[in-house]
Amino acid sequence: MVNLGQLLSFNISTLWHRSARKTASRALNSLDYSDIAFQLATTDNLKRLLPSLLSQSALQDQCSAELPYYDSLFILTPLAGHKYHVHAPALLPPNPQLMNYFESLRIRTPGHSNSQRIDQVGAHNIVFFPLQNRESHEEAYLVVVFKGPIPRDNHAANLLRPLRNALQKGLQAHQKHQQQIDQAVQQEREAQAADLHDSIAQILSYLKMRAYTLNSACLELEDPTFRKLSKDIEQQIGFAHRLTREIISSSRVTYEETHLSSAIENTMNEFEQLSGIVFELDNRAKEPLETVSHPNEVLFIVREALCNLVRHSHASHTRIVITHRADVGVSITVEDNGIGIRPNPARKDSFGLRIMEERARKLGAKLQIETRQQGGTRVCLRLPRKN
Amino acid sequence: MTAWLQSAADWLRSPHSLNLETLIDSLNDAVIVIEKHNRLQYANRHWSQLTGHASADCQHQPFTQFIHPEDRVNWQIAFQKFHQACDSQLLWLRILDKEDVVHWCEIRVQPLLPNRPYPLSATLCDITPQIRSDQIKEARYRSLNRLVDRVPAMIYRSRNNIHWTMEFVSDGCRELTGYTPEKMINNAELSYGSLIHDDDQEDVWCNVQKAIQDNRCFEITYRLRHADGHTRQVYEKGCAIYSDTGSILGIEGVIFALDNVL
Repeated sequence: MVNLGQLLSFNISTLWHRSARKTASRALNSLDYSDIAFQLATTDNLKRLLPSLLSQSALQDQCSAELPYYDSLFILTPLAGHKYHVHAPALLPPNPQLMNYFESLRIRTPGHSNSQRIDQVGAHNIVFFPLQNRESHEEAYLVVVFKGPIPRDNHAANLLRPLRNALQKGLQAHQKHQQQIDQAVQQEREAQAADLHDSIAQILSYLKMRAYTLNSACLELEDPTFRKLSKDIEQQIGFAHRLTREIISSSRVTYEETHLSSAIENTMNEFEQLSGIVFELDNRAKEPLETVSHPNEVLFIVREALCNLVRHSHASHTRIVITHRADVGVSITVEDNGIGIRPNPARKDSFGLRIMEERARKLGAKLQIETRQQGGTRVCLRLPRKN
Repeated sequence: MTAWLQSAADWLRSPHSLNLETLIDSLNDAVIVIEKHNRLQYANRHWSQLTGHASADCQHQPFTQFIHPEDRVNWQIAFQKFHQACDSQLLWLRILDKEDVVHWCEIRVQPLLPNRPYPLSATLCDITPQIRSDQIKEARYRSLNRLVDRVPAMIYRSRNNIHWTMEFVSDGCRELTGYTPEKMINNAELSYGSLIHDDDQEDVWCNVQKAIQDNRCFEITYRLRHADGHTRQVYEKGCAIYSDTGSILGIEGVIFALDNVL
């Protein structure tokens, strides 16, 4: 004997599951998911592609029709410091409350979880569907925002499953593609460095010695024209030699650390082991530091500053202070208690400062090198704010 | 003892005696009281001297805002431990003053009232000079240690016995003998004496002993067996170290390889 309640619940449940399958199959039929995955895998600009993918009218219309209280779709991709880049549909007028929420969002426990997260911001209910990376770690998110209650029985999950799978596959392929590009670039740089070392650097090294001999010989001549000319040649060859060495070492030292903070700390430890100087790292801007552009260049300026310090400063104490102010951006200050820096260095063949200035200029950063009032030198690098 | 405490408390409470706040302000440590939500409820005079902030301005401000950003997590961990164990906690933190200057502080936290989680009292002792001094000592030690290890030779201190039992050997040992210093120190796996060529062992012993008797340095060359089985010619210069009474405490010196492989 089947009672009416059981019969009704069976029928309702069966109907609901049929309906869920139908909505899912409708979603499957209306979008070309393999094309989405392909576009993601091959793009060189995720920031441009993802908003246009989210804006597709087929997707938006389907979500609006199938999901009660549907508001919008977003994709979050990871930035350093547990933060996320928010990809919103291109035509969507940004909701400031939601954008503020996403921009300050930090999910600190990425792991192997595949379960959805739910959050609430004002009247909005937000569902996060994790997108796993190639290592099966939860890394990016497909986010659905509702202006009211979240549909029951995983309706949104069922509808969006094909899109989520396509995004996951596409982003994984994109990640692999980027890793291959990075690896190829690194291999090419190393090969070029080896070629430079074996060719031009050897010739410049020889020329440097010959130019020195030539200059010494010209010093004995009475004609000042030759003395001036030979001195100039010696200096320019010296600079070219130093620049070449710099390019070779830049190509060989790869930025392997995940974070610039730890790369600076490791650099400091390296120089600490090679000198009797007390090194102190005062990093008050760990998170902002991870978002700076061209971390490699920043690291090389810090390395050059520390190298000069160990070689020339006569200091016993050095402090690296990293700070961040919203109006100024990130500043890295390296200061010591040594003999200070002379405004007109006696050795004109010291090119370290010129190279640092050149790197800072390329970064759009401000580099200030000065003698401290208390004695010693202060090198201050002010990095441009990232747009 | 209890009677003594009672009388001291009575004396402090008596209207003609010293005021308790004056006493706390006279301390050379910062004393603070932290209320719920980590906010400062009270700070003595030394806190103002330490941080440059007037005590009144700090009232109800979050204590974490005075802690160096990198140390805030340590503070939170200690804070949790404190609540779990209900016991006083001691830790080192960097406090930032008004001018953003770092002060290393040893901070001890304890409950102000028995059986109540809040408020907490804490004392902060500025240990910056001690930290600076320790850093300088560490840097000197590190610098000397690395210098000794980078010298392309084996620097050693040994006992004056036939095995030449090593008390210290520098990293140069690896290149010279093919063995790590750890294997050789205190004859852990082998003695330096066993590496000296059999035909040279007696000469080495006699020459060193003669120099010691004459109270002078010794300079010797001999053959040494490398771990890879080859024999190397080495040059050694050293001298004995003596106590004030003239007892021989050991031998110190340096050993260079004269050539690569014989």
